[in-house]
Amino acid sequence: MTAAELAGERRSAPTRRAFAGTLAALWAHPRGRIGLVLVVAMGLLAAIGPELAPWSFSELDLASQRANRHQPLLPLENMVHPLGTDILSRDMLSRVLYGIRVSLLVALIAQLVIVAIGLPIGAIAGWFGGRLETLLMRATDVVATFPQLVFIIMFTVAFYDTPFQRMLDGLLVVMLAIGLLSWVVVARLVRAEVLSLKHRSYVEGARAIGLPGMAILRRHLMPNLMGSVVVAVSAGVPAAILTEATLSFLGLGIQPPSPSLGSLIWTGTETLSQHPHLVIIPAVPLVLLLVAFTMLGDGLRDVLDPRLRH
Amino acid sequence: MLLYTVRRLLWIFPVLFVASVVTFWLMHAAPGSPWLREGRQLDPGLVAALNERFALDQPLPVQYVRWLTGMLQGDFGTSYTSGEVPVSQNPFHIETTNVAEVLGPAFLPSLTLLGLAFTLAVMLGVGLGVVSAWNHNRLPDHLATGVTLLGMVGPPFLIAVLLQIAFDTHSIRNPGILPVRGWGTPAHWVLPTIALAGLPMAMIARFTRGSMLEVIGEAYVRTAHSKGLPPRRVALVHVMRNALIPVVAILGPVLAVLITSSIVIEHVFAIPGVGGLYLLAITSRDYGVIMSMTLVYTVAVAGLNLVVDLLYGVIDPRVREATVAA
Repeated sequence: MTAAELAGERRSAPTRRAFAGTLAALWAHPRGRIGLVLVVAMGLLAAIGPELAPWSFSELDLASQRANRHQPLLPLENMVHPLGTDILSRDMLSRVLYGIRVSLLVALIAQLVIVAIGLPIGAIAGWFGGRLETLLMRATDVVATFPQLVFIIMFTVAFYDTPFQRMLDGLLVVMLAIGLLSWVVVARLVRAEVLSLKHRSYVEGARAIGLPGMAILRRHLMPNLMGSVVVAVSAGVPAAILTEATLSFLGLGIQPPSPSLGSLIWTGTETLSQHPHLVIIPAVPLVLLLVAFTMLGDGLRDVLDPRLRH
Repeated sequence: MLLYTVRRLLWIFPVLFVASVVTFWLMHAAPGSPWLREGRQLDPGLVAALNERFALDQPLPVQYVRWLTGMLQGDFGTSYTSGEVPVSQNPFHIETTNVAEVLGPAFLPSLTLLGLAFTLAVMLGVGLGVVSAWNHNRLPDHLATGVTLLGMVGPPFLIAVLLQIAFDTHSIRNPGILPVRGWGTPAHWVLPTIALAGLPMAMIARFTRGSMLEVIGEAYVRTAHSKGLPPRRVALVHVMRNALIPVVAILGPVLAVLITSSIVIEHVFAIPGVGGLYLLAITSRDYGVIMSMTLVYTVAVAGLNLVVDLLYGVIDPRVREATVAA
């Protein structure tokens, strides 16, 4: 066995143990457990729901349409459409299942963008210090002062109706917009953590034996950072779900006919007085998603945040 | 302290500069122009003439400098779309209005809504947080935490729409006690205020509860109890005075959330405020209104954050000394 393999072995075993330990601690945390179960359930719905859905999200079922064409089918009225149809006779269940996938996908990928920007900026600022740190952190301060939703709306509108915006039915722009304006929390957090870890004896030891800075960052700092990054990311997920839903509700997010939970609610408001169920049906999974990730985030924070560990 | 204040005040300028450049670039990069109305095609020659008249054909940096010099002289620019597009082909017949004239009257409804929602959020949030912590892990705590969770996970626009359903005048289920659209009488204020206050209320309540719980565990509180002071006195004098100080710190983020969600709330309830005008301006590329409102929102959020930070220093001497030392 080579030295590199040995090192790999040594790294992965504790990582796996830490993961199992976190899961166990989360299971013991009352809100964390509910959150975990709900997140897994919603995740499964998002992953396989659209595949199992009886209809496609854009298919008009003219056969089961009423004589009065603008009267949608109510839930449970015709079991071909368990949750009824919208005013264009599209199956609500299928549209909602697809909407859950969209909301979840946007929120998770936005987190990737956030970590991809925030982690290096925070780590570089904290590790190298000096002018570079001042520059990076001032830039972070500027972005932090922006009113988020205003800039996210403008970013989305700037690419409205361009080929770039039409990519992935408008999802790409929304993910980037959320990511580009929400990385500051992660950057500040990572910088603070790196600053406090930088002078631990094991890091100074690694430096003393001549390990290059990048290797120390990767091998000694990153594993210790992961806890707080996971906490920040899990808190960012409900925020991103909310932002995407708000954008789609304003008609600026995902483009029709693809549904997201926000755009389904927006469409429902057009016939609010006559058919309130068209608003309420997509609202339920949206709230469930937010509850799930808020509770999971609370649990993870209690379990992983070193400042709260007693 | 004075030096710190001045430094923080000056900090707003680079923020505004970056915000205005980004806004300017994003909005002009966006496809479409202020001369398009509901799919109505204008003669290309007319569009070119209009662009030339309002200097929209110049390179972006030139336009930016023109806008900036106007702004520095107190001229907020021209609103292209609040006037009518000329019926005749003469571009000089277009009516434009000054942005200040368009936005001015819209500030009153917006500020009223923000003020009401902020007051409600602070009063309910602090109240729920205190009750929650003082009855830790008992029924009132669970009830209050439940209400807080509802506020945390109920998106403001959804709360707004659900309130509209509940109070809808057109449905048979409800006679309609409160209007669900428009602005005018105090009855119009109720539903938007509730919808807007939900999330900030929850943020404040969560934070207050945590802060109270931390202070309740302190040794001096145990001392106060063991001296035989009545619990109410311990709660009001010993715990709350210290526990509410950190709550001031969260008012910055709370106000930021409040201001940005007011845009959506105004949209849902059809309130004639600046938020609604802002959304309208964005979709119709009314550059002057967009630029002015972005700056207003940025100044408001940055300025309120500054006020909150300074206030925090004033009420907590420990923070004041720390900032002076730094």
